[in-house]
Amino acid sequence: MTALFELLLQGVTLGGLYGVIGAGLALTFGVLRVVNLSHGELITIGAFIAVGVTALAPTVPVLAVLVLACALCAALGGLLQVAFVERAMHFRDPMVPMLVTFGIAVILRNLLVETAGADLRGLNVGGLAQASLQLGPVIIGALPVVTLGIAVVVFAGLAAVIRHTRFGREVRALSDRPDIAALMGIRVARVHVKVAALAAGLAALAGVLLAMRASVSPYSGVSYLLIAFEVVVLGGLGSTRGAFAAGVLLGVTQVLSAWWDSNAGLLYVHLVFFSILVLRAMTGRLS
Amino acid sequence: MTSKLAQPTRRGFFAGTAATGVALCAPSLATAATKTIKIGYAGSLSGVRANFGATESWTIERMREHLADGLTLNGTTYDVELVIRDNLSEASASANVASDLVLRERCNLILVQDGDAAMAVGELADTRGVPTISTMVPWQGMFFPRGGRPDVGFPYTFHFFAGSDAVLTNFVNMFDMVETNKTVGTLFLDNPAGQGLMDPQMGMPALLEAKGYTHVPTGPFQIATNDFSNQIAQFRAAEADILSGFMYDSHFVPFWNQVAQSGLSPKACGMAAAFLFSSAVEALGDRGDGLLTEVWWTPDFPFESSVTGQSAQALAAAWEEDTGAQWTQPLGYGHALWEVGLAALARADDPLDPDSLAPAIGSLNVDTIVGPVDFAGSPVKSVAITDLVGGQWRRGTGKHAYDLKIVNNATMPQIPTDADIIPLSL
Repeated sequence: MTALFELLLQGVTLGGLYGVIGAGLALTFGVLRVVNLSHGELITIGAFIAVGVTALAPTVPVLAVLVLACALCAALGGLLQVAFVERAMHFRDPMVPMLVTFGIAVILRNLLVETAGADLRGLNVGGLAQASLQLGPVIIGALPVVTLGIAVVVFAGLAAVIRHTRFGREVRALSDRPDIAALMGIRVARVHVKVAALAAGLAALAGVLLAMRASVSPYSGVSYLLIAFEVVVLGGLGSTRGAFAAGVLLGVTQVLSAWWDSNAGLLYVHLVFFSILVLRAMTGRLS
Repeated sequence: MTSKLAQPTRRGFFAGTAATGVALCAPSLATAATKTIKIGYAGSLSGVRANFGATESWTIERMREHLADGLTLNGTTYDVELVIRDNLSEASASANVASDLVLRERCNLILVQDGDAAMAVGELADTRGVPTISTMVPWQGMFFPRGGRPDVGFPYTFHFFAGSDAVLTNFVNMFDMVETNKTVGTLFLDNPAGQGLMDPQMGMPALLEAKGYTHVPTGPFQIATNDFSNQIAQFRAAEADILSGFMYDSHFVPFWNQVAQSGLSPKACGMAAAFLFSSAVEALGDRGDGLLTEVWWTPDFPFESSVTGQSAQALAAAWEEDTGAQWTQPLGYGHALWEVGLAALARADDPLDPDSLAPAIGSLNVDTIVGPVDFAGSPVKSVAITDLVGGQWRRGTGKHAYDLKIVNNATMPQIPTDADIIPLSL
């Protein structure tokens, strides 16, 4: 029973991380209506910035590295939005911005291979990665708990920003009726850039947390993109709160399914995803 | 435009005739100039196995220098042309590389440094009759998937490397040296190599049982796995002192972190393939000290190159001086691949004739920088089986963060051990 409870906790912490992986994608899709296929690469770039900074200046505290990686990645995301995605969005066909982000993904990935090499990198956070907490008979790693804590704070912060700030109101207006929002004097392109930057910053956060937990290579982006998609679709397109819940559901599914089938990998995660989609299609609530 | 080019001009006609005339008058001169041996190369210079190919470009440059003035074999001097191709560590790109080297470039000899490339090039090379030598993947992984039979082998394709059975033997030999409760928890990546290693009769389970170990198998896991809490919960419940199996370094980092988080403190851990490279151990921070690995080659191997005469030590030193990076195990095998290829060319009566070159490889027994590579006396046709020793990663005392020490040489006694095994201290 203790073991099962431990596994459940493991699942929730993994799910929090999955939620963060999906959060940025949910935001870009919800507000910009762009399926950002370079989201996975932004995750890896965030991780590589953190690894690079730690390698160059080992004395910088982890929190500062995290903030720096998010800031740099946010700047990159904003820049990409201004330079490419915004222009592609002028076409009526949603295929165009999607293909543009696909191209950006390929370029970013190969730039990363050229500059950083194909090696796997992990972020060394001292003893934190191995430390554990004991609560009675239950033992749980400290890092997963910290990760979950960060995820909760981020989602709460995101919800507060969207609900209570001027920027959040603009985002909600733009997400509901972009044409009318523009008529009301919202500077659409500027909000787009801010949202893209915020999404890229969240991607970098997910990347840094992943690099602490495991390791990343320039090729990791694609597999994270798949998880991000499932989180976004399950959570309801464009809903950040839904993304968190979906992430937790997928994480718990993954860890618990390994209990009876260690070779399942992500099979049951995909099955849960598929079943919910079918259920929604049957009840007519696909989007 | 094109039609104009295609039209024969008077000047072109005369020039052409004159050239033919010269060629006809001096046949020996013309053929002497065209005797070129074309050596094709396919390897994982980039992609997921890029760390296996990290030393290859450097090795190829050294060979290019060595072959710049051509090769003199049986009194004939040949020009040597190298055709280098990167298979991107993947199967579909390997198929393109194979057809490029075999069909388009029509190489006389192909050297292959990657498992995927060995499969793709091997099939085509055998049908087209192009002598091929491959390495860098356990010989069973190249031989059996291609339908090889030990008493028959392949007509034109050859392979030299250690077997996956040798990896397991070395692991168990090392486990014997550490004082434990003889309980081994295992987990294996679910791919052909992993399935071979966990085979109940041929793989780890049988070996552990024969040596009196209690086996706690958790079975295979998928390549995309990033969470091992279930397996670790089972190991902890069984109080496993030893952890073993097969996984890549991308799996080992989260696995090892979760082992520590769970409070499990194993005394020995040997994972096939997980930390062949020092970079994988360095990624663990302080927690890599004492991990056990299979060792194909280190600079401490007491062999020298049949091409350059360098000792293993000198080869590693040259690499480290040129690149500033720590040596890796493929440095030795990458060099030996060229040694075997050049030795075969020297043995053949006519190196340009595949039916002379292929038997020359099959009857080869050459001392290389990784040790003897013996096709002639091998129990498996077309394969020269090399051997492994058991090594342990230890905190570096010199210029590197970690040093690889040889702690068990039971399967290859000519390699000196250079440290006593220590239990993991976590």
